[in-house]
Amino acid sequence: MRRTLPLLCLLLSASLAAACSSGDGDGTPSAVTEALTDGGSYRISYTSDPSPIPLNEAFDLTLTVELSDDLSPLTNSSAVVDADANMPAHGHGMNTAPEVYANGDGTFLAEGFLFHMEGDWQLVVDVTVDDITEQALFDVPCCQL
Amino acid sequence: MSAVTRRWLIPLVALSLQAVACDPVAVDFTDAELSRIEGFVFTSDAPADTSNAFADDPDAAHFGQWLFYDTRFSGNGEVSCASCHDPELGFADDVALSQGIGQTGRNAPTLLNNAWSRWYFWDGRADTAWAQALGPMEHPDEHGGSRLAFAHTLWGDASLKAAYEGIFGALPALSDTDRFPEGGKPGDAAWEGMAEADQDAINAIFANIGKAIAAYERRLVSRNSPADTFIAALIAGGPRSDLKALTAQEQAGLKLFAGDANCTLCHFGEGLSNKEFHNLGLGDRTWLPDGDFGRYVGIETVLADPFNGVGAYSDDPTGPPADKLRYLTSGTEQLGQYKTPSLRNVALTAPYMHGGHFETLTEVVEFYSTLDETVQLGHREESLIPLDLTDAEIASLVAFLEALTGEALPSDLTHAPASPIP
Repeated sequence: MRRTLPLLCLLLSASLAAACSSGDGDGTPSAVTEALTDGGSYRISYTSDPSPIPLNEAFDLTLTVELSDDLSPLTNSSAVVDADANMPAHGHGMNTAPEVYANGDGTFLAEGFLFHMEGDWQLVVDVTVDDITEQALFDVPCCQL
Repeated sequence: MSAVTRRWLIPLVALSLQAVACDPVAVDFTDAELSRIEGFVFTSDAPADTSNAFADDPDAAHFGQWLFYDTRFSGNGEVSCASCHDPELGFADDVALSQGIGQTGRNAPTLLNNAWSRWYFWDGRADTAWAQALGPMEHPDEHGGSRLAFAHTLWGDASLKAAYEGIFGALPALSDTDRFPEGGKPGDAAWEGMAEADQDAINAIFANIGKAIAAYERRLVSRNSPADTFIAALIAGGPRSDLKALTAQEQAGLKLFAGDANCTLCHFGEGLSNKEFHNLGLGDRTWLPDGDFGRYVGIETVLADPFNGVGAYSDDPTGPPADKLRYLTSGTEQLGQYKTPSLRNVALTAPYMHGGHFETLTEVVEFYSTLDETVQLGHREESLIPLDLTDAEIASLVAFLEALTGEALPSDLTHAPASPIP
């Protein structure tokens, strides 16, 4: 139960993820910027630079990866974080391959994104620790008109 | 109806109808459509090209304009850049596949507003305008020349030599034909026998030729189309009389373009292009060459190009040009993809698509209406669905596209100057 409580809190916070979004409150679809990985081990959030994400211009993301157990930052030096994005309804991804660099404090700089079409993008973040990969998906509507 | 009602209601209705008839905005645009249309506003200056230190040098532009029209920079002395990029034809040509010394495999894209491009050629195999200018000059089916021969052409003509050296500095001693053979390019025996430093000197001259031509092409800016005039009035509060710049049919086409027809998925922004690459799933044509893989090969080519933005001849190899190449990714997804062309001045540049697949804009729009062609390579962009347009809608879209023709360029930009010397 000691481990369950934080998890419940985490699930609750995930269900309230809309509160952690980049919406502007005017009804424009907004991106959820926080999610759990599919294995439940990590909570990932992101911010973009520039913000909001521009259409057809390069942008970077700062990914914050925390252990879901205690929300401590993922500072394991062997951890590998990869990030990419695609448009599921279009059957294609970006024309760039982002590169991710660990900052050493649980945040990761992902450089080289460019959304070249308006529409529903999906940000894919993989976290690999000790050869075990977990994935988080974020729906990212692009871009605010 | 009472007499009183007739007395007031009928004139009121007539007045309302008159108001509708006189309202130059003939269609209702949704907020989303207006937002996309606002993106078409074309007011910015050409983006900086930091890879070309001479991009905005007027002397370089003048010299580049001369080079653009000079047929001596070709293998047979008959081909210039203007052969396929004819000012009278929107700086394109009017044949499906362009004709240089030989038959090329692609339709010539316009050079109007070229400076706004992110990639060059249909497959994006060049990342800068100056690198693009160099490609055709040595292509055996286009200019069919060689960088050594071009350097000697500069060296052998007093005016050309003076013009070049006034901008880029002294040419090396090209009279020494043991060091600098009179013709040759990579792969040729004459070139491969040269000292590396001498090859580098010739490459620098070749790059400067491209940079001068690119400086000229940056001046080929076509603005102020009827659509621009209408949009400025609609969005930015320009003179209300300017709303008459588009007819009701053209406005209907604009609404479709930015709305139900979803053209803005790829054709957005001030150039009405996302500057990237897509596979439309076009069918075969008898005149197309085999083995055209589109962007799939374009990526390999641009990354290997010694004249790309990160190469030794770039003036900013670690700046923004580097970022463009650094994150570039290649995969089978790029098979059969070609660049989204700008739609500005599109009415001037028939035929259309990378292989001149369609002779008219009506045929182009009809294709998007039915998608009735068999994909040749890779897979069609899955966001494309048949639009199932009516004849009236097709006509409206074509009318809008025709309203994207900008003002004519100043006449002094449409022919060779009197001398290569500024």
